[in-house]
Amino acid sequence: MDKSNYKQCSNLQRRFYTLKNTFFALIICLFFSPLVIMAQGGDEPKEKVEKVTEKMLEKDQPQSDSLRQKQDFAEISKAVGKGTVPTVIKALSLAAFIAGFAILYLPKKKKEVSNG
Amino acid sequence: MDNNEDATEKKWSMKDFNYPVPEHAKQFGYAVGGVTFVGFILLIITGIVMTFFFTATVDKARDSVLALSSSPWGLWLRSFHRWLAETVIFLIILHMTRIIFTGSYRGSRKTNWFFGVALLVIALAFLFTGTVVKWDQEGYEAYLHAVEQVDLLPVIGAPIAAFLKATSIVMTMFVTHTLVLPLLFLLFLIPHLVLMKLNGLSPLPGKKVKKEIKLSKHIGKIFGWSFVIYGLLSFLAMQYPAELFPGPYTGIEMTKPPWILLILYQFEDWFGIKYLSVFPLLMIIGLILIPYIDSKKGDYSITRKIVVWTYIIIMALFITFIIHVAISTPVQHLG
Repeated sequence: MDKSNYKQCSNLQRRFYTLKNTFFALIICLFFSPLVIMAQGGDEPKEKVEKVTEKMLEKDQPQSDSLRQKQDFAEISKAVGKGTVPTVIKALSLAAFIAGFAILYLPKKKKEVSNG
Repeated sequence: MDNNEDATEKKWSMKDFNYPVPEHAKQFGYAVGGVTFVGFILLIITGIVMTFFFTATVDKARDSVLALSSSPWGLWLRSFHRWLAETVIFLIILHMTRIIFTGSYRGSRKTNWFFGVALLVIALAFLFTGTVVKWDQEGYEAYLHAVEQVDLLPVIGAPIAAFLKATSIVMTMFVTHTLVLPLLFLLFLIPHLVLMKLNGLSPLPGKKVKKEIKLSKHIGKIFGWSFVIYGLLSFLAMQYPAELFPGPYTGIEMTKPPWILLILYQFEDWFGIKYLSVFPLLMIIGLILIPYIDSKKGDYSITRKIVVWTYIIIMALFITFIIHVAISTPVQHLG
């Protein structure tokens, strides 16, 4: 909603838009909250579960392939995540991210009207 | 020269497709449907590329995904596809939220609301089959939950469960994920888009359209937001690759479902696996009923307030459930 229009709205409409915007902002914040939890070490329960899994695997499945597989993926993703290509991918991604903001917010040059 | 000849001789140009739309089409709330559509196109592209590297058998599925993840582009592709799928669900919910808040399901838009609900259900089915198809511990647990649910359905449940158990489950899920669901999705998406064009962009509540902008500007906003959201997502996909769990192994439950299904996880905690399918069924019925509950004209009617506030309360509860389950330790539901 444009700020200029906002002044013309009734109180009820203003409340409605404030509520709508707050709700959108809240949902967006909550969607990204797992990243914050991860950054603060919120993956502790996962560690516990892995330990439970290890115990069960040792007990029931002596081949313990799963544990090796788990390490495989963790190690592979860690190893693959380093290097030039991932850096290039990240750089391109951030370039797209910034380009998006440029499309949205950079002022467009108005077409000049020629008088013939 | 008659009218028919006029029509055949008319030269179409790109300007004819750049028709005017209301000015509020620039707002994110009115562009989010288009951003979701772009996300779906990206899902198709990344999905098709991954198909070349995937082996749809029980013993090779996980290994093929692991092999794909062994290269930086493969790891990014898989993670981007996974995070994209979860984000598209989130964007569909945002789109639905905007429609509920602006009452854009009334009158001639009622039919389109039903197509939208169907698309949401299909998108969730995409998420489910995509989770199962990689056949790690997460996929296996999701599959077991589905079989248990199907088995409980009256009359049709037993034969469907028997079919699922008799077929190669990874191949069944792969065909569903890459062929059946995309066709179904298109079947509902095409009329969804056609009806949107016929009805025009829904108005802002309590306001008459005064200014108009060109469609190209609306599309520009959609692409702008798409670059922002999917660019960030692409970065995060490389930074936090989507996990591939070990296994699958029987007798243990160690994973949690994708974020939207954490709501079901909470209900499963409370009522057990038997009633798991009751809740989504109630949600779908509730969404279908919305245009019937709030059918009166007027942007600030009592029925509008009831629908909007009920939606807010339900969403607040769901968000609480998601956070609660996300930070809690997984528990055993099966068996």
